[in-house]
Amino acid sequence: MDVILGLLYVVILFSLVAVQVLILVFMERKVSAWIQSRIGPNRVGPWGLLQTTADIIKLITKENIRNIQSDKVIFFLAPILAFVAPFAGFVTIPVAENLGIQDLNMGAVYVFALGSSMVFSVIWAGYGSNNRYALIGAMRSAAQMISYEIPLVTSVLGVFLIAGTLSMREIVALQESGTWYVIYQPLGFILFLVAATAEANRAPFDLPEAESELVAGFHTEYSGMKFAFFFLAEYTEMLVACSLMTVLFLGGWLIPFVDNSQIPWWIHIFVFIFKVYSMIFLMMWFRWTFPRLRVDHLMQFGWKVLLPFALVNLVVTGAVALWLKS
Amino acid sequence: MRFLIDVFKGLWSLFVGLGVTFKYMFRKKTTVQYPEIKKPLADRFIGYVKMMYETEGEFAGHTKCVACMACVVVCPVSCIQVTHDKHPDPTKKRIANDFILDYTKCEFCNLCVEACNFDAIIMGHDYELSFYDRADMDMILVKDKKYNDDLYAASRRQTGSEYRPIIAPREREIVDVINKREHEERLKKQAEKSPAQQSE
Amino acid sequence: MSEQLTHSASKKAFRKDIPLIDQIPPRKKHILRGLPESELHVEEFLMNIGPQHPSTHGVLRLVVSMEGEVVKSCEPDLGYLHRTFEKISENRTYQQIVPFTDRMDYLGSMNANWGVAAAVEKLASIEVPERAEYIRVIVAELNRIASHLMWMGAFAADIGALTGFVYGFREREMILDMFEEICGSRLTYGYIRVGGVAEDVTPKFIQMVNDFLKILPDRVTDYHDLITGNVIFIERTRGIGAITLDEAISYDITGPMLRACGLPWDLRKEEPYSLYSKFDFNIPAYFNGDCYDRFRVRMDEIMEAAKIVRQALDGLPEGDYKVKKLARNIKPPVGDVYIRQEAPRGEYGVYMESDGSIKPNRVKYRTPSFTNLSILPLAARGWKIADLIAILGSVDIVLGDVDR
Repeated sequence: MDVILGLLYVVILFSLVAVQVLILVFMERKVSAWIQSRIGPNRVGPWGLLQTTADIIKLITKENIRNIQSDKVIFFLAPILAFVAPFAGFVTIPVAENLGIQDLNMGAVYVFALGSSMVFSVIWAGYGSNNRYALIGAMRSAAQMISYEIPLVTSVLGVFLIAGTLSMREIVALQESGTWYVIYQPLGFILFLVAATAEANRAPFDLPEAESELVAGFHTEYSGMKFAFFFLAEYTEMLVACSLMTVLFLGGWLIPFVDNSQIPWWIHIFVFIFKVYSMIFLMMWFRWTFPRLRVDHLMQFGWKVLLPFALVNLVVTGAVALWLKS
Repeated sequence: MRFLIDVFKGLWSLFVGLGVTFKYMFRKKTTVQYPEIKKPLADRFIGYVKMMYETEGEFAGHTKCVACMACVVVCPVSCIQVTHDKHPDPTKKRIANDFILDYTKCEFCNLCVEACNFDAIIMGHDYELSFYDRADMDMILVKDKKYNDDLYAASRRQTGSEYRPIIAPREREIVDVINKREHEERLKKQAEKSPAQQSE
Repeated sequence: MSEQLTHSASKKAFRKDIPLIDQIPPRKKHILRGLPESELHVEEFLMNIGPQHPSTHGVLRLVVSMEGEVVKSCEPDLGYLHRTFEKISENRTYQQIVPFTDRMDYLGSMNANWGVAAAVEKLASIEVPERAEYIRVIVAELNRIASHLMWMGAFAADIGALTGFVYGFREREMILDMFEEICGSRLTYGYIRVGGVAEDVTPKFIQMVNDFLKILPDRVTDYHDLITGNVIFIERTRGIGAITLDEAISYDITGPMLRACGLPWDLRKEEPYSLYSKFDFNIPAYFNGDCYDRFRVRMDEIMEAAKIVRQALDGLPEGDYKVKKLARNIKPPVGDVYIRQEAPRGEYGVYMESDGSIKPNRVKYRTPSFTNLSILPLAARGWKIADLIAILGSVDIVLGDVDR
């Protein structure tokens, strides 16, 4: 019985995420169009809403082409892992009170651990496709993910220090009494936003797939459904990162200055989604404004700017927390 | 300290950039929704070559082209061919029979129109130049206006596009067959009628 | 003169019996001997960028030998767009050559037309009406603005800022609309003809130019806010691909690339042709010779060109727009002529030799993109692959202009 229930959860979650990704791709196109004085897709379906669906159908029906010299197994596994890793991160994220699949008592760690396993898929894809562009993309990705993992985690440690817990649901619940953690941790929030953008391989940190240099980076050789999976993975990861931001810094499903226990659960869901989408809009806005960083600048920025600031933030938070406690 | 100033300066420059893109997010869009809305073309727009016909006088409906070959000589890529007949007007020598323009070669340089001494060809405003077949890119302009209009109509019937006024040899054959059939039917009708007339 | 120079340089690129890469040392075989030369042995590998690649600006192929991300050597392979325009020009009458030059530098067609027209006029001693010269200056400078705007967009896209790309095209579109108004085409104009221009300017055109000049400063400020001031952009371009003035001169670099190295060399000032001595404008120059300075030179040139257009528009005299009585087939006396002008990309030269017939005996085009591209192997050596793309973008090549 448990197995069936688990499978049901997976199917529901998958369909929800897939729908979200469809909306996100559409949103990305519209936002980029608006920024660039264009209109964006408006032909397929009402207001062009079905454009992404049409594209996905196109990708599914496309032929799967594999480079004959590629490593078959790795080439096949890479897109699967790319999608599964961020997808599994959704398990701990609470969308509303009592609405979430499983609340782990160290949920944040679980999500970060899964996020860092993304790097394997990128390296597999780059190595397995036996393409030099892909290989360079994979090498860049490995360096980038490892060096941005540290500021990413360090920047949220301040929140955990204040909250005193790692459970997502408890962190949100703690923000109900006081204010959102973004007010206590503004620097931490900015650092997390930057590091999460880099973790999700979004511009201006999209070096692994820098299209003006590396054609398509690590997924140059992928086509059809496998390519669609990488696409799906990118947006899923963005969704996870923005959900984390919402939960840790923006008070999750809570509405400020209101007694939240009186508000029905479905409004909470909408509040949560609204917050997540605002963050995603911010990321898209970054992507369509900034140039791409260079590899060594990326490393310098990660190690020389993000990490020191994150450590300073952590130390100051710890000191203040200790002082308030005593 | 300098490090901090650099960081904040950099951050500020990023915000300025974000401001620019945010500003344009709410400006009027520049996109023109193409097949529905078309930008008005300039009067001098260079599109397909069009044949001009006499509008009045005894020879209305005949082409103005007298096959002087000025355009053929001036064309930098030799994409024009003109065949000619004897002109029905005794004051003029020749009339163009077929004016064939190969759009695989044409440069749209406007030299042929400028070279024409009789205003027989102009640059039209049609610009949708896509074809399924290379052979379709031979455009034929003919001397008879009625025949020309027939060819245009056939071309539209066949392609279903009102944007494609080009006349390819294939369509010309079809029109020829249709015209021939109509002509034969007309002859047949006349033949049927004529005994009746005789009986009267 | 310059013909021989460029010819010997181009010979190598076109001949297939000469091996393409000769700088790259052969693979070291010491691993087989089991005696590593150094502890940190990095193996070079070859990467083939182009002819189909998002940022080679056409069909350029770069054979890049790399050590990790670092470019060790880079060899441009040309000729994918070679259409024998010099030979074609020798088989056409002087008037017929003009439309072909559109296809060479298709982003600066007006300037390309002008070079041929000026050469034939000098060869046949044709006096051009003053109004025609004014119109030529207006359209050529507008084309310079259009070319630089498009370059700015493409360069921003090379760096990764895709929005700058669309903004550059948006303003270029306005200039294309103007050109459509006066000559009926949007890319291959063929507007500047031997003995004047094809057709007179219309009041609507003048109105459009005025409108454009009004909004241009605002838009350029936006570009500066969005791109020039951006810290990531500065990091990506400052000091990248820097060449010294000596190198630039020895490689025959001209145009904005030379001016970015510190020499304000501009043929409009140095050898004022047409009416350029009448106008008041500056030659922007910067001193580092890197990608950032090339960007700033071109951005400043947009404003300077706008200044020239404004002056020319105000001083536009009445009169004929072309020579009234011009033979259909011009027969210049026997002789040769070399005309050089400042095209958006640099020095554009036309050598023409007449044998007294209606067709030229020999035509040679000295195109700026080709010579400017020759410095890429030197400028890109030692930089990263992302910088290679930035340097290639900053050279501002048009492959139609390189391969002819």
